[in-house]
Parts: sequence; C-alpha cells; structure tokens
Amino acid sequence: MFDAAALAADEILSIPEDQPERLFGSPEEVASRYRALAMWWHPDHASLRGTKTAEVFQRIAKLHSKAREKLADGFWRTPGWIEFHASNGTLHRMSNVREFDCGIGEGYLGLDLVAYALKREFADLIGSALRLTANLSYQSEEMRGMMSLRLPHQRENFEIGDRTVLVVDKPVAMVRLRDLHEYLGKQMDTRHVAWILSELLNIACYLDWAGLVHGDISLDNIFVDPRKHTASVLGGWWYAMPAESRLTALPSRTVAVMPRDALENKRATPRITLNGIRLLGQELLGASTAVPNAFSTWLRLPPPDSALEDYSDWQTILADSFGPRRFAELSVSTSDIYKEGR
Amino acid sequence: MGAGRFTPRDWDKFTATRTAGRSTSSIFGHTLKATLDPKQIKNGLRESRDSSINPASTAIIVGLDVTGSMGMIADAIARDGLKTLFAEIYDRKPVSDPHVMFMGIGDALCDAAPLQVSQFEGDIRIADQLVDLWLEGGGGGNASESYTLPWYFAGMHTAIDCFQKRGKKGYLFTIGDEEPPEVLTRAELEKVLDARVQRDLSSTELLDLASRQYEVFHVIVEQGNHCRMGGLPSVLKKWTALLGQRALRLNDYTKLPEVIVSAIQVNEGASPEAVADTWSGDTALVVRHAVAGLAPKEKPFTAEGNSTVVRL
Repeated sequence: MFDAAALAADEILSIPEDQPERLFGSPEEVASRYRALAMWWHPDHASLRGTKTAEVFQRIAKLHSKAREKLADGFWRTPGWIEFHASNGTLHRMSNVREFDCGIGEGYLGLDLVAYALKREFADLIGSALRLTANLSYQSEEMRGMMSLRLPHQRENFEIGDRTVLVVDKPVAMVRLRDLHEYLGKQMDTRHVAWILSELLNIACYLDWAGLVHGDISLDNIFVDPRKHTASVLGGWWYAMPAESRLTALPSRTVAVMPRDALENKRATPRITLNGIRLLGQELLGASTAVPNAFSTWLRLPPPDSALEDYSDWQTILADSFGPRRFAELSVSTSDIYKEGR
Repeated sequence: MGAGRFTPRDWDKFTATRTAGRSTSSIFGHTLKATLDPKQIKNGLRESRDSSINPASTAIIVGLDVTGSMGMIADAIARDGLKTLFAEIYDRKPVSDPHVMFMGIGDALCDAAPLQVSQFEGDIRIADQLVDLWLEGGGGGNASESYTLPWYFAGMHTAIDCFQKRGKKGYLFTIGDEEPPEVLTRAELEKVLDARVQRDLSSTELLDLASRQYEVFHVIVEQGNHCRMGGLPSVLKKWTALLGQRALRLNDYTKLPEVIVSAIQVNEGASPEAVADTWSGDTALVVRHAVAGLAPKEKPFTAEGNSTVVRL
C-alpha cells in the first residue's frame, strides 16, 4: 500500500520533472498515488507539512502531468525495465540497463536486446532499415555462421506514440562500444582498437559482397564482446543503403569525411563504410600518442574502393605495427560496464 | 608556430638586407636546407596554433613551383609580394590572423628536393624561410610536377587550430604551369617523406585528404614556359577536371598575392566582380581573369535543427 506521508518534501523535489515513474511506480498506480499525494501535500495543510508545501504540491502536479503524457505516448520506465505500450494495445516490457541518443530517436539497451525508438518523421529511413536487415543474405552456411552473429536479427517492431520501435537481439556478452570506450577512459589501447577494426573490416567485406553500404559506423552502433574479440553492427541501419544507390540521408559526422565524388554524385560507395571505420578508429584511440606509424598513416589516408583490398592492406598494417599476431586480453565484462550506478 | 604579426617595419628591414639589389641566385638557397626538409620535421607535424597575438589564426599554405623558370614567382614574392599578401589580408580581413606556410614544389620523379616545407608563421620569420627555399630549377619534362605532394603533406602532417578548434578550414594554394599528376606513387612518397603507404594514391584521393582541413586551390601560371609553349589547353582541362572553378588562371605572376587574397575573399562570400573592382588598373584585370568563374564556397551539407541527420 502506498504511503504518501512516507515521502519527505526534499525527496519529492529531487525527482526530475521528466521522471514521473520514480514517484508513481507503475502505470496502474498513477491515479491512486496522485490522489494520495495531492491530498497529503495540499496547500490547505501547509502549516502541518512545513515551509515547502506549495512547492512540493506544484512539483507533484507537474510530475502527474508528465506521467499522463508518457502514458499517452505509450512509454513508461521503471528502474531496470522499460515498458512500451504499443498503439495496437500490446505491452512490451524489456530489461533496460542504458538509454542513449541514437540520432533519430532513443536507444534502450537491455541485457539481450537493443530497442530503438525512432521518430516517425524518419519513416523512410526506418522502412529502409527494416527491409535491409530482414533480407540479409549469405552465400553459404559457412558465411551465415560467420556473419550472422555480427549482424542484426530483428526480434520485433511496433508503433508507440510518435515512434516506431525496432527491437534487435544482442548477445548477452556484447557491450555498446561507446560504453566500453568510456569505461576505459575514452582512450583504448592500440591493440584493442586493432582487433575491433579487423572485425569491422571483415564485416565491410561482407557488406561489399552483399552490395550494401553502411553510413554510420560509430561508437553507438557497434557492439563488441571484449573477451572473445568479436564485433557486431547492430545499429544505424537506417543509414544503410544498396551500393551505387542514390544517397538520401546520412549523419553529419559521416558527411564531414565523405569522398568528394560521392558527395557530388550523391551515390553510395563502399568508401563511405570504410571511411566510417577509419573515423571510428581515430575516435577509439583518442589522444593516444603510442600509435605505430603504419597504423596511424592507414587511419588517416582515404580508403580504396574495395573492402577486400582494404582488408588485405590492413593485414600488412597489422604485421608492420604489431609483428606476429597474438591475443591481447581485455578483461572487461558487461557486468563491469553496466553495474548499477555507472 | 605563428606567434607574431607581420609589420611594414620588419619587412623594410628584411628587404634592405636580404633582397634589394641582389640577384635571384644570391637571395635563395642552393641546397635543401634541413629546416625545410619534410623528412626532418620534428614529430612529423607542422602546427598553426592560436596565440594571444593571433587568437583566431587561419592557416594559409602557398606551394610554389620551383622547377625550371618557375623560380621567378618565389623571387617576386620575396621582393615585394609577401608584404602585399599580409597587408591585404590584414586590411580586407577575408580571414583572421593569417599564419602563412610556404612550400617549394618540384618533381618527385627526378628532383633532389621535390618538397620543401616552412613553418607556419604570422610575422617576418616567414620571409626568412621563404628565401631559404632552394629554387632547384628541375622538373622532368613529363607534363606535370608533384603538385599533390603538398596535398599529402597538408592532410597528413599539419595540425591547425582554425580547423581543430573552430571547424574552419585553412587555405591551400599550389602554383605552377604544368598539369596535375595522376597519381603519387608509393615509391615517391617513400623517397620524399619516408612515408610507407600500401598503394599509389590518385590525385582525387589526395584532394579528398587535403580538403578535410583546407580549401584547396591551384593557380595556373599562364606565363610559364609549359603554358606558353602550347600546354595551356591541356593544363586548364586537367586542373579544371580536378578542381573545377578552383583552378585559377594567372596571367601576370607578379600579381599572385592579389589573386590569392581575392580568391579567399570570394570563397568567403564576396562577389568576384566586386572584389576585382577593389583593385586598381592592371591588377583589377588580372584578378578578374583569375576569379571570374569562382563562386563562394558551397554551404556544407548540414543537419537541420538539433538533428544529426543530413538530407542529401
């Protein structure tokens, strides 16, 4: 049973106006809790509740208003979980360890999934992402075995308020690259950057084979398993397109380093993906000065037209930079990165 | 580098002691000076950094062809042009706080010093470094000089605050009378810069590289031997194919500084006609010939509002 008297004035005032869930609990309790709180903190009782009664009452009213807004939008979040009330009446409750801006909406990272709530004004990009990721093909079972864990699997998609929600599977051991990067102080060891780039170039070769270009290879869209040294491109598929097709939309960071001819002709070229990989490598290294010369040069030079050629060049860069291959252990797990309070 | 301002007094002192009454060969260097050797640059980086004197610096690279008879351009700048370049930028203010770097451009195929690189300077020290250039007078008779070496160097070996701190590109002008090379080979890059790359780089790729941080132009010297001996149509065609309107035609090499300043003005938004009209007499004609087809830099594709999405 909810006890309105148990909450002190300062506790209520400390709740941000965009987080009504912290005051009202579940969607079913909003009305009853609001009644109880409004009665307890009504200005008529000011002399009994202290000097902040009016302020608290106003905050409760604002939080209630925000709660009603969120319920109308089909969006409700309690610590560790997120609930989407879809427009068709279905409830989608998912674990949620991290929330992030994904450019055209919000991303919600769960233990074994990522949910992207994307603004419907980008319906063309969302539709393209759904079509492309639903139709990823493989030359053989061997290729499927190698690539499928590095590419997104749609779990479901549905509509809420002004958003379309795309839910994709995420292997439990995988962490968002931005979270790993921040956990490591925004400056990764060169050897770890190298295996991530190797993985991404491998994926780029698949994309080349599949005739696809990915326009947002970025910290938010790449997920990695730090212990197994694998990477997946789970996000950003709303910026993917068939090679040689007309470019329609890209994130500003990609446009800033686009090959001039691709920008002028507005045609999708594999160099967009390969440029993105280089840009990501530079971001991962941060201000590190201990980057082997061959590695540093490769990162800054324009890529070739073919991912296979780039991958082949990369093998030489790896050997020149680090000598014989050897596994560089990275002892970080999802629980390290997503433990409470981080 | 770049902590200083260019003054007429410093210039007068410089010309009195270094250029007045001297022949070209007694003004300039006679071998590759270590301080200009790109292989010997500390940390492999030339820097243009803001300072209290130049708080909003703008990096400007001027790459001079020093093959064959092209040394005449460096000579004209050392005698008079450099003063014009700084004075007109200070006066017209198309960009703020110029930091100028000079490069000497030769032919990587056959020259001993195909690329020479000064520091970025905002004061008279750039004049001292200009006359340190070795006007090698080489070139291979192969209908191109290594004009893309400065593009590689600018893209890989410069760090400029105008871009890094303010997102504003610097300026890169190469000047010469021959066609652009189609590629810069691995061997050439290794020879000139000790750079080890995986493959030859096309001029288009090198332009992409330089264009990330610089507004890139090439000035075609129509009085140069190669252009005068029938090469002009081919030179124009190839440079225009590569750079479009940013291939500028110069029909009086002594007016190079005025053309550079005018090109910057137009690129920053002024109309070519209006800019040409601000110069007097013959200079106005030369400037008009050079920048008539030039348009202000294109508005970059940017995201709308708070979004990061760029609609193309």
